[in-house]
Amino acid sequence: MMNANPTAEVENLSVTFAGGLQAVAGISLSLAIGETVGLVGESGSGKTTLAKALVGLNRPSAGAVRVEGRDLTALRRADRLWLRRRVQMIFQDPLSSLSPRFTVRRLLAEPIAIHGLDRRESWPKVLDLMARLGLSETHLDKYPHQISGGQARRVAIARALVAEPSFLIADEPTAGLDVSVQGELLNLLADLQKTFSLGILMVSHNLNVIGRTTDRVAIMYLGKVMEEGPTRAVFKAPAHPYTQALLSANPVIDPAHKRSRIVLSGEIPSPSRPPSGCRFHTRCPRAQERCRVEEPTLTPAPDGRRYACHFPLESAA
Amino acid sequence: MRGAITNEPPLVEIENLSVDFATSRGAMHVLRDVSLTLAPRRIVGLVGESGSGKSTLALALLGLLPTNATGVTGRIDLSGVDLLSLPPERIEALRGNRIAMIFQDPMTALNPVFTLATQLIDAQRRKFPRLSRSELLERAAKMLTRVGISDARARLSAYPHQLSGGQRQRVMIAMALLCEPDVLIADEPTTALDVTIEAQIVDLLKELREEFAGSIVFVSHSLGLISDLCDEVAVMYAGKIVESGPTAEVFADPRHPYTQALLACEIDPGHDFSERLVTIKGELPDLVAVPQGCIFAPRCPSRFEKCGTEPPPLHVAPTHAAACWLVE
Repeated sequence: MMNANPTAEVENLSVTFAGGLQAVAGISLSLAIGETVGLVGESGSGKTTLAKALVGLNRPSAGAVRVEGRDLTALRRADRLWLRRRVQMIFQDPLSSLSPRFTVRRLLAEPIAIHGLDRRESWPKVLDLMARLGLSETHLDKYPHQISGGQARRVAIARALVAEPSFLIADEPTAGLDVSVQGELLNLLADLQKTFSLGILMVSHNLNVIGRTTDRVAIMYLGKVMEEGPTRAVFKAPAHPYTQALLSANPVIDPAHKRSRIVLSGEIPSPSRPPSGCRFHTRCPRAQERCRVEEPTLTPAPDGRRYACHFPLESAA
Repeated sequence: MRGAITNEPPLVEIENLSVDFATSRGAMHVLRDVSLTLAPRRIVGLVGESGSGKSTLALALLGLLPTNATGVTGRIDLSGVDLLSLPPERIEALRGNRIAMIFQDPMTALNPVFTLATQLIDAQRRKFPRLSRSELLERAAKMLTRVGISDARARLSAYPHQLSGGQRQRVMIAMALLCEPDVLIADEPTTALDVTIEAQIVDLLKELREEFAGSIVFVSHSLGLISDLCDEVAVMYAGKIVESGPTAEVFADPRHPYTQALLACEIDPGHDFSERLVTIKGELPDLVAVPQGCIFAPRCPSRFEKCGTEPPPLHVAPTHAAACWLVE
């Protein structure tokens, strides 16, 4: 099926786990080829659940997940393979996603076999990919434990790209990396995006990484999108009090201590018992009676963002 | 007061501490010639990347170096006593009592099968042997309230798994402070927490600095957190302190090329997207065969001939100290 501008998207997606926990509660979001979308949120926000739904690892309980126009729930077994070629995911801990009993050569050859690609045609591409990622052919006969963490991460990325996907889901790609090398990985992802015109969904709690590398961002809280829009605009002037608090809690180097911080009181409520009305009202410094009873809907703003708040911050208007 | 010079005598003085770990390839020089002073009511940040030795330094303060730590030289002076020369049982008596630690993951430090009451009472027994159980319980409840646990009395009968991550870290802080230690070591205490909860814990530590007479050592890889919380900072690289001084001075006017590079690597979300992100080229030196000269020279953009042959001492620049030949 051809599509003018292929996207991976979720529409009114809800994911409910056994036991009734609704991790994602009615979210619509789309990712186009060539763009990077950030997904930010704290524990229990549902960001990883949403990301996994896009690769078909979580089944929607309501709503739809579509990749290049095809509904994932309607896919048959053979089509699953098609989906895996379109959308790939790289995980937080690269070592746990690479079989310790396979050499790098076998790890990289596996996707070729799975997707029934022509090995003679594909293998040169793998070698080319490795070179791009700064891996040499001497790494081919090593096992995952024999290479460094950074190299393992690059093998995982290479493995994801062998099948030439259109979309890449990166779950906390810089978690656990030292600051001196995280830039290297992010530069690399930016290069790969250009070369392969990938659509990248970057899931992270690191606001600096999201702020610097994404075109659009969605801020999630307890399974809902609080605010979504162009990253620059959202970071510069958040409309939602939660976005504002999150950005202000982000520790930045500020030797003169000029910045004032908003410290939210209280804990993140359990996603199995979300608060009534606006889910953020229990911790919101601007909350009023209306927030407790009436849930705000995502409202579009002129600058292309959407936010769900009855009393948005004026600076953004 | 931030940046103010205290005239109170230091609580701990670390002098020329070096630690080697025995490995199959030979001695690995994990800490070399580290000196640091901890003053009362001050928060000192230890910042560095993996392999910088910041956690080893924290463990040395606790007398918890691993058994393959051979060749420990220098002094760790805690009010006139050298910790390094004490027999293990005396160190053990000090641990928790005069030097306490809070860890990255409170779940591994709390015992899952005991209630908070049991654990918080046990923690104080050695320090306050004369107090009764109900008095110890009273102290525990007060301290829990102080660190921001609501309904502390009821919470005392809870088990660790019944608390959230942020609450567990508050309990760890309460447990550490119950013994009124001279030094509280916090090793990446907020790494496992969400950012809004991290901000709460950082605020709590700031408040406690004023009340608690001891000194706090805050180990972190986050420059932003160190900048926010610490009065002083020691920047570590490959087992050495390369720069140290008042945090505001070090971050506003970094003198060591490593500190400069580290600050440049920090991602500023306000910056132009098209710019490449900065990285530090090269790798950590092999600590078994430590290069001659400055430890950072192989990766340093400003190195010159002398850097490859002679290690620079910590020079005292106008505002703070840096171990670099450029600061003379």
